[in-house]
Amino acid sequence: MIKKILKFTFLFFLIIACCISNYIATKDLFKNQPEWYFLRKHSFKKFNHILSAAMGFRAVMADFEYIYFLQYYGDPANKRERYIKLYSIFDSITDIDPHFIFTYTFGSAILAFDVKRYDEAISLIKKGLKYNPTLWRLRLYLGAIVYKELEDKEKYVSYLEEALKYDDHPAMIERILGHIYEQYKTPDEVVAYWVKIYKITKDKETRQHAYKKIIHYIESKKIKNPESILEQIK
Amino acid sequence: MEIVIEVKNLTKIYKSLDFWKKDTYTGIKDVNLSIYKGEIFGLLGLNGAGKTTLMKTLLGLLQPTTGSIKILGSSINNTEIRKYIGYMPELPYFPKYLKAYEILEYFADIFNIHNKRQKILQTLELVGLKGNEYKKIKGFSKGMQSRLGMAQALINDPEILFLDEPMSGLDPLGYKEMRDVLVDLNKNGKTIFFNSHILSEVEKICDRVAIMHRGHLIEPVKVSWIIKKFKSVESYFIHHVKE
Amino acid sequence: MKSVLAVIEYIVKQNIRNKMLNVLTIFSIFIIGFSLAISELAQESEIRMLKDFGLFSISLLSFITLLLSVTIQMFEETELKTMHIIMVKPIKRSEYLIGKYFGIITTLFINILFMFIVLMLVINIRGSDPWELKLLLSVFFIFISICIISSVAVLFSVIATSVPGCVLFLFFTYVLGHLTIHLKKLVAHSENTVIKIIVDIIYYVVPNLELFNLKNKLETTYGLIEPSFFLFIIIYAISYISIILLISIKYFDKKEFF
Repeated sequence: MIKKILKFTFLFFLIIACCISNYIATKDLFKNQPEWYFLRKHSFKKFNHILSAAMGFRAVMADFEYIYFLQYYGDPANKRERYIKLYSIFDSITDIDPHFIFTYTFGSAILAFDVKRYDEAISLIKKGLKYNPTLWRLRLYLGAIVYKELEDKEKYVSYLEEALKYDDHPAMIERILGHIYEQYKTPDEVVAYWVKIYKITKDKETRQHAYKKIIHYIESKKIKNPESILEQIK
Repeated sequence: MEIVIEVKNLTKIYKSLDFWKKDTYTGIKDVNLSIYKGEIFGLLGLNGAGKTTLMKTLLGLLQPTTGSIKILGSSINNTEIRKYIGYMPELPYFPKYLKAYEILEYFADIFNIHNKRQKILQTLELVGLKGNEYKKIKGFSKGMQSRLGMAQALINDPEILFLDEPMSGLDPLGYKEMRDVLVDLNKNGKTIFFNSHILSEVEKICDRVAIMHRGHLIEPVKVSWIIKKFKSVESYFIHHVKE
Repeated sequence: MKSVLAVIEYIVKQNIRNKMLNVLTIFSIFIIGFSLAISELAQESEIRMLKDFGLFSISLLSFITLLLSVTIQMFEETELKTMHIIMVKPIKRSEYLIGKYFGIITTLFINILFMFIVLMLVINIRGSDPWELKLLLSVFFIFISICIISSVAVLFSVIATSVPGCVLFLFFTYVLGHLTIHLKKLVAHSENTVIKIIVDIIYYVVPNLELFNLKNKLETTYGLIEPSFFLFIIIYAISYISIILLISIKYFDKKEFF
C-alpha cells in the first residue's frame, strides 16, 4: 500500500515537473522569440509553410524558396516585367525564416538599385529590422538606400547613429559617420565625436585614425579648447 | 515423487482484441495437472485444442483468468524461478543478421552465466550446431534454427524444459537427434514438458501423456499403460478425440 | 543491471547489422553532397544553406532511423514472436523495456554522431568553422528531441497491435509536436474556449518538440541560448521521458503474448 502511494506521488511529481517546465520553457520561448517566430495566420494557408513548420525545417524551406528566387531573378524572361513578383517572394522567404539576413540585404539592394522600387526595398529592410533589431548591417543598408537614392542625408545619418548604439557594430561605421559629420558639423562637434570614438572603439586602426584626426584639428587651430581635448586623449 | 509443476483449476478466457466487440473465447477450462520431477511429459491434442495456451499460461506469457500455477513451488512471475526454466517456442525465429554465438551470448548475459564462452560452445555442440558459431542466422536452414532455439533453451542448464512442437521443421534425421538430446537431458534429471502432433515420437520418449481436447484436459496416463490397453498412443488418441 | 546492458547491446547490434541503417548512413552522405551542390548555386549564403540542409537531414534521417528500428523490432517481437523467448528468461519486463529504450537511443546517438561528423567535415572543407556553439547545441537538441520521440515509440510499440498503426501514430506525434506551439499562439487570442482546451490538451500530452528545435534559429540575434531555458527544457525532456517510460512499463507488465 505504502509502496503504491509512493509510486503515485512520484508519478504525480513527474507530471507536475513536466507540465511546469513545459509551461516555463514555452513562456521563455514566447518572450525570447517575438511574434514572428510563430507561424502567422496567413502562413496557415500556404502548404509549404505548414509542412515545414510541422516537420521542423523552416530554415530549409526558406533556403528552397531562396533558390527559387535566384532562378526567378536569373531568368531574363522575367526582366521584361521588372521582376514583378520579387517582393512577394522575399516576403514569403522572410515569413518562413525571419532570420534570413541575406534576403533582406541582397533583396533590398536588388529592389532599390536594380528595379528601383524603393518603397518595396525599404519595406523589406524594415521587416528585417523589426525581426532582427540588433542587426547593424540592416540599418546601414536602409540608411544607404534612403541616402543614396532619395538623397535624404538626415535619415542616413540617423540610421548610422542608431547602428552605433549596438555593441556589435562594425568599426567601419564609426569612420563613415565621422566623415559625414565633417561635411556639415562644426569642428568642435567633429572633434568631440572623434574623442568619443577614440575612447570607445575596439578597433586599433580606427583608434589611430581618430587620434590622427584629433591631432589634425588641433594643429589646424580650428577648435576652441585644444588643451582639454589633449588631456582627454592622454 | 516431487511435484515440479502444479496446476489447479486453471481457466483461461480470451477477450476479443477488437475494441468494440466484447466477445470472449475460452482457451482452456478447469485444468488440473501435476508434473513430477524427472519425467518427460507429452501434451497431445488437435490444432486449437488449447495446448499452446496451456503452455503459455504456465510460462507466464498469458495471465490465467482463474486458478493457480506453481512452478518449483513458486509463481512464474518470480524472475528467480525463471533461472531454472528453458523454453523453446514452435519454429523459433532469430534476427537474421546476428550470428548464432551472439544470440546465445545475449541470453547467457541475461542469465549472468560465468564462463559463458565455454558454455555457449558446449551448448551449440550439444544441439549439433558445432562449426556454425559465427555464421549469420540468415544462412541457417529451418532445422538449424530449431536447433538454435533448443540451444537457447538449454543455455542455463534448466531444471524444467518447455518445448512447443520441438519436432516441427526437422527432417527425419533431425527427429532422431532431437529425441536423443531429450532422452540424454532426461537422464541427467531434467523434467521435460512438451507439445506435439507427432504421436510416434511421443510414444518413443514420453513417460506420461495427456490429451487436450476443446479446452479440457483428459487425465494424464502412463505411456506403458496405453501400450498395454490400446497398443499405440495413436489409437488411444483417436479413441478420445473422436468421442 | 547486467541484463539491461545485455538488452542494450543486443538491440544496438541488431540495429547496426540491419542493412537499413547502413543505407541510411550512405543516404546521409549523399544528401550532404547534394547540399553542397545546392550551395554552389546559392553562392554567398552557401554556409548557411549547408548547415540548414545538414541539420535538416540529420533530424529527418534520425527520425526515419527510429521508425525503421521500431518497425523491425516490433515486427520481430509480435509477428515472429521473438518476445516469447525473452519474456520467459529471468529478466524483469521493466528491465527489458528500459534496455530496449536505451538500445534504440544508443543506435540513434551513433547514427547522429556519424552524420554530424560528416557535416562538420564538409563545413570545414567549405571554409567555415564547424566548432560553432550554436551548431553543436542544435545537434545536441536534435538528439534530445529524438530521445523523447523514442520514448513515445516504445510506448506505441507496447500498446499498438499493428506495426503500420504504430508508425502512423509516431508520425502524427512528430508533426503535432512541432505544430502545437504555433497552434497555441494562433488560438491565444481566440474566443472559442473549446478550441483552446483542445489545443491545451494537445500541448501538454504531445511532446513539445519545437522547444528543442534550435536548428531553425542558427542565425537568430535573440538571446535564445540562455542557461535557464536550457535547464527547463532538459527538465522537461527528462520528466516527459520518465513518465512515458513508466506508463509503458505499467502497460507492458500486464501485456499478454498471444
